[in-house]
Formats: sequence, structure tokens, C-alpha cells
Amino acid sequence: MKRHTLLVSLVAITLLVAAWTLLNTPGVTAEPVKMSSLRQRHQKLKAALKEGRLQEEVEYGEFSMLMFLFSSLPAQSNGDGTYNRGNIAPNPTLGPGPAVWETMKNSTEIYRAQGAKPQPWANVNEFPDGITPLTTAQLQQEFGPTNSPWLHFLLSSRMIDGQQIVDANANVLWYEVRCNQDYFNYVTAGQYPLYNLEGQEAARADANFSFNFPQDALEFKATWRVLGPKDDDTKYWTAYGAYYDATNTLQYAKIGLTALHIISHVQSNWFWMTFEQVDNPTASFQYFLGEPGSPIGPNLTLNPVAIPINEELRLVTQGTKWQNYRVIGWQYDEVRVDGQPVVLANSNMETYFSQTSSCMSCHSMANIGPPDNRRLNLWNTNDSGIQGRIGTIDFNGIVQGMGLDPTQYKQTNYVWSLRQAQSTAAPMAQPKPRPASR
Amino acid sequence: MSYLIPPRLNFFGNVSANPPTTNNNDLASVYDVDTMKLNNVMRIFDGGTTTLPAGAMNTFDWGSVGDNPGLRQWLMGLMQIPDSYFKEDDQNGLTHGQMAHWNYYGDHDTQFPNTTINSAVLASGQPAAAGDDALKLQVSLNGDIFYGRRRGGSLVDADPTGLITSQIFSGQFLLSLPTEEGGSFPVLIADHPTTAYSYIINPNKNLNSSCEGFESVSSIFQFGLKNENLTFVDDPLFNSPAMNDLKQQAQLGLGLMVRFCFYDALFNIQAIQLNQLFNGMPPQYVYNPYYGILIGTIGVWNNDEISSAPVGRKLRVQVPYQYTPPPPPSSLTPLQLAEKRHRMQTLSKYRARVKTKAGDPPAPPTARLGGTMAHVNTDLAVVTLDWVCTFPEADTVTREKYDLGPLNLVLLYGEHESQSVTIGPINGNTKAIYETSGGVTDVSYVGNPDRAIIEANIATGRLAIVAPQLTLSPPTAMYPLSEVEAFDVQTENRVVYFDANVFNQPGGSPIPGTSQITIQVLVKGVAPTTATQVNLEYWMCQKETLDSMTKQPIPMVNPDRVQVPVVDPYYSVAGTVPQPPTKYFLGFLYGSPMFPDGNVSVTTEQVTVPVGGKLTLNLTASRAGVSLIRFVDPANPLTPNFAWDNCDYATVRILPFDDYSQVPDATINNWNYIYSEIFGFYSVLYPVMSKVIPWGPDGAPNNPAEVKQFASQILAFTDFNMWDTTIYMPISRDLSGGKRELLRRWCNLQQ
Repeated sequence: MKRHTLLVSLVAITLLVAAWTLLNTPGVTAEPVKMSSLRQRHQKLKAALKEGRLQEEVEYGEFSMLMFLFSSLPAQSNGDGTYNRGNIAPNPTLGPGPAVWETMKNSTEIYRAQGAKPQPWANVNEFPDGITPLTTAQLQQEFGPTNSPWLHFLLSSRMIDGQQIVDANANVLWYEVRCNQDYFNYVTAGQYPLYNLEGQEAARADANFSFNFPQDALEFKATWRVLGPKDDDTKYWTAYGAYYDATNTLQYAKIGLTALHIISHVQSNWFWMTFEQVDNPTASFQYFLGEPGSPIGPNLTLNPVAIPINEELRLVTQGTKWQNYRVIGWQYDEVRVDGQPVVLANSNMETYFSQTSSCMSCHSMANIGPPDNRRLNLWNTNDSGIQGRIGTIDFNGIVQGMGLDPTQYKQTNYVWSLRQAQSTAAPMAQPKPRPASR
Repeated sequence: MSYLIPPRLNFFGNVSANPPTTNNNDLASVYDVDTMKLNNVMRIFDGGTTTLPAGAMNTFDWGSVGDNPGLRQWLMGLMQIPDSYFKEDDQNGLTHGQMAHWNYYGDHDTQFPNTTINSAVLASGQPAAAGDDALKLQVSLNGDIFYGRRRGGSLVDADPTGLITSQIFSGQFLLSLPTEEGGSFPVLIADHPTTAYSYIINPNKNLNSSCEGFESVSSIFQFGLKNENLTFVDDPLFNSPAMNDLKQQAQLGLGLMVRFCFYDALFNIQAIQLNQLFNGMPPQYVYNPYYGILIGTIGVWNNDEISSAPVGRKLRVQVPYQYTPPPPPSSLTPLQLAEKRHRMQTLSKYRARVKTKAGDPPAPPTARLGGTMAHVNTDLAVVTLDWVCTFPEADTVTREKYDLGPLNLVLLYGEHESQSVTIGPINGNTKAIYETSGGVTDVSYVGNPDRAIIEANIATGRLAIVAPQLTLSPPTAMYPLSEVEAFDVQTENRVVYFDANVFNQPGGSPIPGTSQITIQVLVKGVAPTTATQVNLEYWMCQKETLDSMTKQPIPMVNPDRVQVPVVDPYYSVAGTVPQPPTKYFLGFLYGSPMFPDGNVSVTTEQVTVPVGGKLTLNLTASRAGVSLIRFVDPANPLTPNFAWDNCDYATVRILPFDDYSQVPDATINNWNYIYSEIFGFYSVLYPVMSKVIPWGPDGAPNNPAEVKQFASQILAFTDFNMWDTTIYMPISRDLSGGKRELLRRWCNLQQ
């Protein structure tokens, strides 16, 4: 680590400490000049990352921390109980509210039933058609106040491998994906309507088209646990959540954030960051075949460089809920300088295959193929079983290894969430979900 | 010959196996194994009475997946099993069972808990020293990697309605050294064991009068570990001459071979308790695995040996012996004994199955010695016997051996085997020696005064066991167990699966499916130097019986289902020469509704196996279904035993031709359709899967939107390349090619 880099980082962090303390103190206004300094540092690092000028591991870590901080600032209110979604220039006089990333588009708003066109960016309609969610007032009355008034529609309790983890109450954890406006615009207003399968198919068939999201595109994936009235919520960023439980019944709950992925297209193969709540090693439990198991334990993929950065993060966020979160790691390449594969996992999202987890390697398999083989599997399957992919991915080689024609398969610029897109053809008929049980 | 030649490591411990039982069901006719469909009229055990759920009928009429929620409740109900069926074996008479049988929520998981190496033999034939570190090793059977985790292997019955062909898929066999900190480090890592198949199922392994179900049964399994998948971890702290010998010898051959035996197994929860757990508040959908004793040995897999079948000289010509059932273990309290008697719902009558004819005096119970493999080492003047399932226990608690009296190994030789010579005593038929020997013992003739006679005749003579104190049936017989007359037939293709029809090309016409079975004839354990005539007989598990009231054929749902001749062929074998049907009297069928006189006549064909003993049989499907092909010495067609432990055979499972090729995507991409065609079947037959993939039915995890998210996983799990792994789905392997294609099309439409 170069000394001057560390000094610059520490100066920036000191500024952040002051600003963040002010921001999270109700009724206190942050000084615009300090906010400006923080943002300048963030922007400077971002610019360097875009231009490939970041050299030091600590700079990547610092950028990750700043991404987390700025994404977690309170979103700007429209003054009528709604928020200017995705706005990263929060009004510092309002104190806590939904974090900026919480207000971004839920993937359920982009990839809709029958591949319908998404509503405009400013509209909020995370729930399936026909569902009128509870109001904030109703939620507050039933579950009490939260840090964020945002009601999250949580699509799945399944991690990418289909498995689950639970909290100490044996309640499964829940997952959502959110996207910023640059991502949203690319999918909804680009050359092809990528929000449905037909649009993606047309993009695949166009030999001149390559999936390439804007450089400012962001995607967030969050993990939440359900917080009951007896649960200690003092160390969790809290909000409201709704989900269909195992019996397909709509449930509402107070929820606490346990983990967050952020990916930024700031570089061509995206920049990957992951964060966790500090109690995860003992508060999240394995779960298999309906039986809770042992605590998931410490995240063995923690980047050692993140340790001092997390110390600074804790100082910066002291006195706020965010002091209970930490950076786990980041990824800017599939392999390290020594040629070894980068392994990075979030213990609440890639719990079971963490030792064969690489954000970039897995996502480089994101693809679309012909209708009879729509998506090549992201998993590394062989006679040893099924595992994640790590290291450099030779996509065409893998396709050929499967005995398939590489010209029929197109990578989708590391974005797996595109596969949530549905066909405009007849939808999958499903048993009607049961109404909310309250 | 494999583990019969030193070096070897012997192990002992426990086995836990958790197969689901709804499709493998002796109490209710839920499933048609041939068509792989749920039966429209599901009957319970003939003469049984459904007691729960309240108001439930003795039959369940199933019309469509819409009936699945009710079916699920019915399967978790309770029946009273007819008094008459059990009275002759069980003084307590009545017992209960669940319609799903004993393990509705089984998941196939199979593990070797508490298993350690407890003796070793060096390449010299000498026992390893007490300080050999191999004697500290733990033995584990693991599955393949499932997203970073390994569970156990998977026990899967190839013929769920039959009792004789089980398979164990596994991903890793591991020997590890425990550390003082409570952990362990691996010493031998063996990935990708070959599939193990059950052999020599011995229904007389324990003769105690309190034995129930599996407690009296043993089964041998065997798998190979290829050299390229073996990792011997060198560690200065691990000092084992025995392991060094094994490593050296393995490298000269194909790798290692592991032969093991399950016995004394019983599950924990009786039917009434299971019913209460399933229907409690909240319901507890628990496993009910069986737990038993495991004994085995690790030896060398030599070149040209079959990994999954016994090799050596085979002693399996059995003559029943009379025995006195030992009393129930004295350590069991009356309550424990009563519970024990009610635990095994079926109380299958593996013992004393020969029914007496009317007017005959009651016959004393008889049993048979289990099959034995032998290897003759003329250099050392030793005959090594695999007695792992040969001699019975007398007690289910102490596991003490039944006193058979003196046992000798003899050699029959000369014209018409008119002469015999004693090779030596079979010493140590005791619990202590048996459990520390891996089930392998040596009979030495070094100092035998007749050594010259033995050496002159042992290559051509026949090995036999003599037990002078036993009364054989018929009394004129002399040998309770002896070597096969001429040859036996082994195959690595113990189970083959294929479809009744396949398309000759995409979009083309359906043609019959085909498969192959390669057989190996062995004469006294070695390949023959002349051509051999082998008869092929076509058998199947009995699928129908006659209703006691109407006398009409109904699905057979009790443990009396044995192997009976195939009448309507399932497949043909190319190049066979038709033979007259072979006739057998099967005593265990005598008096049964379908075979009242016990006589059967089985279709027989013949093939000529060339010099070297290897021949590939080409099978062409005629119709879907599960059956057996038996390989028989035409000159010595042994009458099959109840558990076919004296037979060579392979199981042929032909899956139905389910053609969805003309069904449009719009139809397939519909939850109700895919649930009706695929998921609904598995959701009731293998409900543990609902804990992973929430596809219901109602009352079980049921969230179609989440099922859709499994499309990617389902595609990976159903990939044929995963067939030999514990990851493959369905674990039961009962998915036809047509349904598999339908499922994969649906998955493609979801992503």
C-alpha cells in the first residue's frame, strides 16, 4: 500500500465522519461544503476506476465503502410522502428515510408478467398486478416505526443456488434486486425492449448487437430478515417487506437488512462490491430440507484489505444503524495478479458455495441462447457435483465443450437479472395467491 | 482376487439409510412401477383396515393432481394390518402401518456413522501391528459436492416394488484421522466411487425370534475406486505400513475396492408415532431412516476385475438347515419388546418361508447360510473366505453368533465328487472375531496331512462347508453351502435403464429403445478357456395377486412379492436361441392365490459366450416395465431363493415412452400443465423434495413462482451427465426420456 494513498483515504474518511454524523442527526443540516468534498473524493475515485487508473487495492476498497455510504444516504423526499427515487443528492435536512438504493426500481417493476412494458421510472409498482399494498400508515400501525418507510416487495427466499438460510427464529431470509435509472433506461428505452423475452431474442438474433449497459448502470441485491416484535432491531437497518410465503400467501413484516451487493458498470466487466451486517456469522443459520442447521460462521472470503477500511467505516457511521455493516470485499478481475482465481462471496447470498464463488466469473456466464436452450447454466457441473465457477471464463470454449454452437449464444454483459424477463405470450397460469394473512 | 488377497483394511460401524417408501411400498398400491403413473385406485394391504384419517376408505380413488392434497393426507394416515397375516410369526398379532409405508419423507441419504478401521492385514498376510495408524481412521461415505456441501451417498432401489436390486450412488469415500481438537484430516480421499449394487441378500442373517423386517436381513454392496481418483495424503504424523501396502498394491492394479455389508437394521419410529408427528400441531414431517450395523473391507481392485460384483470362487449352492429360534434378547424389557414388535409394520416373513402342505406336520424353521466368496492362494496354502454374510447372529442386541457347531471347509473331488478332503476348520465364528475381521477369514492347509491331495485337486474340485451339528433339509444332504457346479455370471451392468421408444432423429419417428448388458462368465473365479452356453431367463417382481373376495387380479401390495416369470415380454435380446421353458417349484409361492401349487415355468433362451467369457447382450424394448434377466448354467439351473441370493441377474428398467414432442410451448408454459404432467407426481411420491422445491401439494411448501426460479437448477440436475452422481434428479431415476424433455422445455421457457 502506498503511503500517500492511505493518507488521502484517511483525510477523506475523516471528512466523511463529520458529514455522516451530521446527516444522521435529525434536524441538523450538513454543511454543503463537506458534502461536496466527500462527493468529490467519490467522483475522483470513480473517474480513476473508469479510466483504469486505480492501482491500489485500498483504493478499490475505499471506493466500495463510499459507494455503500452514498447509496445509503437518505433519498430526497418529494414532500408528499413519496421519494425522488434513485436520487443520489439527498436533502440533508430530512434525516433518516429510505436509503437511496432502496428507492431504485425493483426488478419486479422491470420484468413484468407477460413481458409488459414497465411503468415510468418515477412510478412505484413493485407488487404483482392486482395487489394493492398496505399504506405506510397501515404498516407503521401494525409493525411500528422503521428506519426506512419503504415497502419492499421481496421476490424470493432463494439464493442463486436455490437454497435458503434462516434466522434464529427459523424464518427464511429474503432477497430483492434493484436497478438504477441508467440500467432501467437501457433495458426499457434502448434498441430492443430487453424487459421481455421477445426483445432479448431479437437482440440475440441481431449480429450487430452486443449487450452493453451504460457505464453508470448500477444493480443492487439485498438480503433481508424478518424482524418480529421480540427481535432486537437495534443493529439492523429496518424497513417494511412483503413476500409470498411457502404457502403462497402474501405476508407483510418489518424487515432488517443483512447483506447488500452493489455492482457498477464503471469498468467494462463491472466492479463488484459486497457488504454484510456484522452479526451474520452467528445470526444466520444453514437450512436444508426444512431443518435449521449450524450458524453460517465467518465469511472466509473477507478481503484482508477491508479490515482497516471497515474500521474507518465504523467510525464514519458511528451512532447510526450503518455502523453495524461492513465491507466484505470487491472484485475487479477474475484472477489475481498471481493468476489465482478471485473468490468472493456474501455469506447471506452465496452461503453454501462460497469457496467456489466469484461474482465476475459467475456473471460472465450470463447469456441468452436459442429458444430450445434459452440460458446456458451458470453452474460448473461435472462428475464431482455442482459448484460455482471461478477464474477466467472462456465462454465460447464452454459452449463448445457442451457440444453447442457458440454463434447461437450471446453473453448479456454480466447481467443475470435479464433472465427474469418473461414472454409476451400466454403467461404461466398459477394457483391464485392467497390474500394477505394478517 | 480383490479384497480376498491382502493387503486390506477392515472396518466396522453403523449405517444409516433413508430411502423414501411411497413408491417402494408393501402396504398400499400407490404406484405402477411399469407405467410410472399413480394408480387410479390405490388399495391397501389385502384385508387391512384404514383407521386414520377419520373417515378414510381402504381405497383411495385418484383421478388427477387435484386429488393430491387428499392423497397426501391419506398416505400419512394409518391402517390396521390383518391379524391373520402375522399370527404365524408374531404372537402379538395386530400391528399398524402407514399407507406411505415406513418413511414417507425419506431422501435416500446414506451414511456410515461411527465407522472406523478396526483391523488391517499387510501385503504379507500378517496382521498390522497395534500401533499402525490405519487403526485410528474414520470411514465416511459422502455424496457429490452440492454447492459446497457434501451429504451422504444415495440408496436407490432400481425396482421399487422388488426387493433385490438396490443401488448406492456416492461421490466420495474418505478415510480420515481424528485430531485431538475434535476435527480430522483426510488420509485417503477417493472421489467418484463406482455405483454399488446389492448382492447376496441374506434373509437369514439373524435368527432371533424377535427379529423384525430388516433386522434379520443383510445385503452386500461393493464399489471400486479408480487410481486416477485416489489421493493418498502423505503426512509425517501418519505412520501406517498397512496403508502403504494398500497404496503400493493399488497402483499395480486399477485402484481400490470396497466391499461392505449392512445388517441388523431397523428404523426408529413406529407407524402410530409417525402418524401423530405428521398430523401434530405443528406437523413434523420427520425422516425415519433405518439404522444398522456396517462391516466391510477395503482391498485392491486388480486388473480385469469387476468393480461392483463379487469375484472369486462362489459358494452359493444352499441346503436349508433347521434351527431353534433364540429367545428375544434378555436386555429388552417387555415394553421394549412390545414396541419392537409393533415397529416394523410389515413384519415381512423372510424367515421360514417354505409353507407346509396341508396335512404335513409343522416343519421346524429352517434357514440358509449366506453365499460365500473364496480365493485359493496355493503359494501360502490358504483359502480365504468372505464370510461377511454367511453365518447368522443369534441376538439383535448383543449380536452374538448363532451356534452352528464346528464348521469345516472341505474339497469335493474325483469322479462324481465321490471323494472329499477337509481343508481345515473355519475358526472364529464368534462376534469378536467376525466384527474385527471385515468379514474375511483364512482357512489354512499348511500343516494339513492331506495337503498333497488338496493341492492336486483344489483347482478343479468344489469347495463346500460342512457343519456336522446342523440338521439339513433334506436330512440326506451333507453340505449347507457349496460351490457352484460349473460357472457363474457377473456383470458391471447390474441395472440398465432405457426408454421404450426413442426418436430416430429430431422430428422423426419413434423406434424401440435399446440397451446393452455385458456379461462375464467366470469358472472358479477366472475367465473360461472354452465357449460357454448360458441360459437367459426372464423374471419380474410379482405385480398382481387375486383379491380375496372377488378373486379378480389386483395390484399386489405386501412383502410377499417375489420374482415370478414374465409372461408378456418387456424386451428381446438379439441372437438368442429359444429353449424349452424352465420349470421350478418355488416353495414360497405354494398356496399363494396366483401360484397355488408353487410351480412356475419361465421363458428361457440361450446364448453362446465365446472363449474369455465376455459377451454383450443387445436388448430392444417391447414395452415399458421393470424386470429381471437371469443368467443360468443350463446344466445346473438352481431354483431361485426368495431373495435370489443364489442367482446371477441384472435388472432391466424400461421407462415409458412419454411423447410430448407435439405439445406446443404455449401449453407447456402453464403451471397447471407442468404440475399435472411432472411435478404433481413427485410432490406426492417424494414429498421431501417439496422442502427444496416448493411445488406443493397444499399443506406442503407450495409456491409456483419460486419453483420457476429453480429452472436453472433443474436443468443442471437432470443432465444425463450427472446420472452417476448423488446430484442427479430425480434421485429415484424414474423419469422417462419424454418427461425429461418436457421438463427441460418448461425450464427453458422460464428463463
